Amino acid sequence: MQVRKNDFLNIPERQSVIAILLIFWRLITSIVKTLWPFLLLLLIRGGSNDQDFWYTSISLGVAAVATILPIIAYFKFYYYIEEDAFIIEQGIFNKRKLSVTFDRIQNVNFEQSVIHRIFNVVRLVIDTAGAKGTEFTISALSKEKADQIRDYLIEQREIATPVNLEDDIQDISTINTIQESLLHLDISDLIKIGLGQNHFRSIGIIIGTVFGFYTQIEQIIGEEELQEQGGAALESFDPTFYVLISLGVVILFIALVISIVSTVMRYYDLRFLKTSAGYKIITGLFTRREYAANHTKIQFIQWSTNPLKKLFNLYSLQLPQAAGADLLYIPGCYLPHIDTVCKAYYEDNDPIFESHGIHWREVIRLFFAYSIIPLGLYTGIYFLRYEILPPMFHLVIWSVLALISSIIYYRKWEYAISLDGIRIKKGLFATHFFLLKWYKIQSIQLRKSIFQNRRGYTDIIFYTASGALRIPYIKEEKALALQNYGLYKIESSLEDWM
Amino acid sequence: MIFANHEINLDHFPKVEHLDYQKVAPAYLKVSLIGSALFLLFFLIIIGVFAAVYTYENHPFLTLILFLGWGGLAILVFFFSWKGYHLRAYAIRERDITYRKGVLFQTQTVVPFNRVQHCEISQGPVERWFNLKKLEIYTAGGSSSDLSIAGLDTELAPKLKDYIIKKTGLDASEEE
Repeated sequence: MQVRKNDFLNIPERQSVIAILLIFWRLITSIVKTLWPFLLLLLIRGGSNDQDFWYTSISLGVAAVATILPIIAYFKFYYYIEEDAFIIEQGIFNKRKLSVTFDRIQNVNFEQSVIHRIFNVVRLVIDTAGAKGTEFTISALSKEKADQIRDYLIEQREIATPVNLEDDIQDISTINTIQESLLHLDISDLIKIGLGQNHFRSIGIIIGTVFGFYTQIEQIIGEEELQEQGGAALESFDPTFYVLISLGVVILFIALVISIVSTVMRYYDLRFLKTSAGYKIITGLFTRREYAANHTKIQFIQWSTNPLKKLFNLYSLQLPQAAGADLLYIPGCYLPHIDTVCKAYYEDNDPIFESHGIHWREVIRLFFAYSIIPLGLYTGIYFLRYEILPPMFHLVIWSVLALISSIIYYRKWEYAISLDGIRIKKGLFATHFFLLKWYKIQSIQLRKSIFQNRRGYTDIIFYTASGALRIPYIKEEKALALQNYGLYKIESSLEDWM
Repeated sequence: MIFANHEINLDHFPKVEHLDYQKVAPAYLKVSLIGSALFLLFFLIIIGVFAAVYTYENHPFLTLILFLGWGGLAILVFFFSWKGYHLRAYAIRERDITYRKGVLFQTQTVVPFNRVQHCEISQGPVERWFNLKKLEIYTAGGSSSDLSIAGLDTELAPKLKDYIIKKTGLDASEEE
C-alpha cells in the first residue's frame, strides 16, 4: 500500500446548512405519519378550553423540539478522513463514530429529493462491503463538495485495494463513464406499465389502509361511539347487487389510479444506461435515485410479464447482485432490451438450449400446498368461531381453483440447459424467466421427500449469492447429471462469480 | 498458456452418485438420542402439567390419549434419530465436499471448495462429553446452502477444516 501524503479533509467538516431543513422535514413527516389520527381529531374536534390549553402546550413543545433537534444534529455532525478511513461522527445524545476504510467502499452514490434540488445540494451515500443497513449517509452537501469527495474516495479506493483485485478497481473507477443509453421511459410507457402492475396488491393496500384507518380512529374515539355512528350508516346501507358491483368498480378504479401514480412517481424519467463496467439506472420524480451494477456482481437475470403487460409487450427486468448491493429493477422494457442484457450476461452468443418439463406429480404437491393446508386452517378457524363445519361449496370452489392453478403452474414450468447455464420459465398469472450461468452458483442441492424418493424423483436447488433457484420434481438421474455438470463448470471455472 | 478446448464426453464426468460416503462418528448416534430424549422429557413435563391442571380429574380418557400420543411421538422421534444417523454422511473429493442428511426430506448438498467463504468448528455441551465437534462450512449462498457437519471426532474436525481451507485458497488453475 502506498503512503498518502494528503491533507484532503483531515479537518472535520460539517455538512451543508440545508441539512437542518432536511432533518427538520424528515422529523415533521415522521411525526405526522405516526400521529396523524390525533392531529386529525384535533382539527375536527376542537374540544373544551381546558383541553385546548393542553393541546396547545403539547403542540408547541413538539414544535420546539422539532426545531431544536435538527440544529443540534447539524452541529454534532462531522465527517473527515483519518489515515485510510472515511469517518462520520454524529449523535445528539450519544456520540457515534462510524468509519469505513477505503478498501471497503463499494460505491459512492448521490440522491436528490425535491428540497435537495431547490437548494442544489445532494445526499451522499457510501455503499460499503459490510452488512446491509450500515448507514453511511451525509444528508446534504453542495454538488461541488460531493463531487470532490466522491472522486477522492474512489481514487483512494483504487490505491487501497490489493493488486489482485485489479478488475474490480477498474470497474469502480470507470463505472461512471456512460457508454450508451439502453432505455428511457416516457410518460406513455409509464402509464402502460402502471396499467400492467399487479392490481391485486393495490387492492390489498386499499383494503388494508381503510381497515388500518378504521382501527386507529376506533382506538381514539372509542369503539362504542364509532359503532353508534357507523352502525347507523351501515343499517341504512342495503347492499344490492348493483351497489356491490359499483363498489367493486370504484375500488378497481382507485387501484388503477394508485398503480399508475406510484409507478410514475417512482420511475419517472427512468434511464437505463450501459456503463463500461455494467449498468446504471437513474429514476424518480421527487427523489432521483441512482443504482449501479457491475457485470461481475450480477448473479442472474430475471424478467417477468403478466397478461396485462403482455398486451403492451412489456416485461419487467431484475438484475440481482451479490453481497447486498442494490437490486437493479426496471418495471417495464421491451424484448430487445432483455435480449441485450441477456447477451451481455451470457457471453455465449448463440446458446443452444435443450428444453425440459417437470413431472406431473408436482401438480399433486402444489394442490396439497394450495388446498389441504389453507382449507384445514380455514375449517379449523370456522369451526372454532361458529362451531359448525364451513359450507361444502366453499371447500369445493377453493379446491377447484387450487387444482386449476396447480395445473396452470405445472404446465408453464420449463427448464432449459445449455453449456454455459440454465434458463427457467415458470409462474401462475405472471410468467417469470430466469437465466443463470453455471459459474455463478455457490452450491447445488438435491432434495427429495420420501414420496419422491420412492418414485426416483427429486428437486434440485441451485444456491446463488442472491437467492436460490429450484427445479421441482425431475428424474433423479437427470438431477444427478445436472449436478455433475454444474459442479464441473463451477470447479473448472476461473471467472470471478463476483 | 496454451489454449485448449477439448470436447468433453458426458460419461466421463466425475459422478456424485459414485461417492464413497463416510458416516459420522458412532458416538453421534448417542448425542442425537440424548437430544431427542431431552426434547421428549420437556414435552412430557408440559403434557404432565397440562393434564394435572385441566384433564386429570374430569377427563381421564383424554389424559390417557395425551400420554399415549406422547408414547407414539417418542417412538417416532427415536426412530428418526436412529434412521437420521444412518442416513447422515459426507464425502470429500478433490474439489468439493458433499453432505447428505434427512429422513422425511433427504437432502444432498455439494459445496465446491472454490465457493467456500469460511469454515468454523463448534462444540455443544453434549458433544463435548462425547468428544465430538461440528464443522460448519459457509458459502455466499445463504444459510440453507451452508453445510453443518455434526458428529466429527475432535481430531478429525480440525484436519478437515485445514484441508478445506487449503483447498479454498487454490484456484482451479493452480492445482494443475
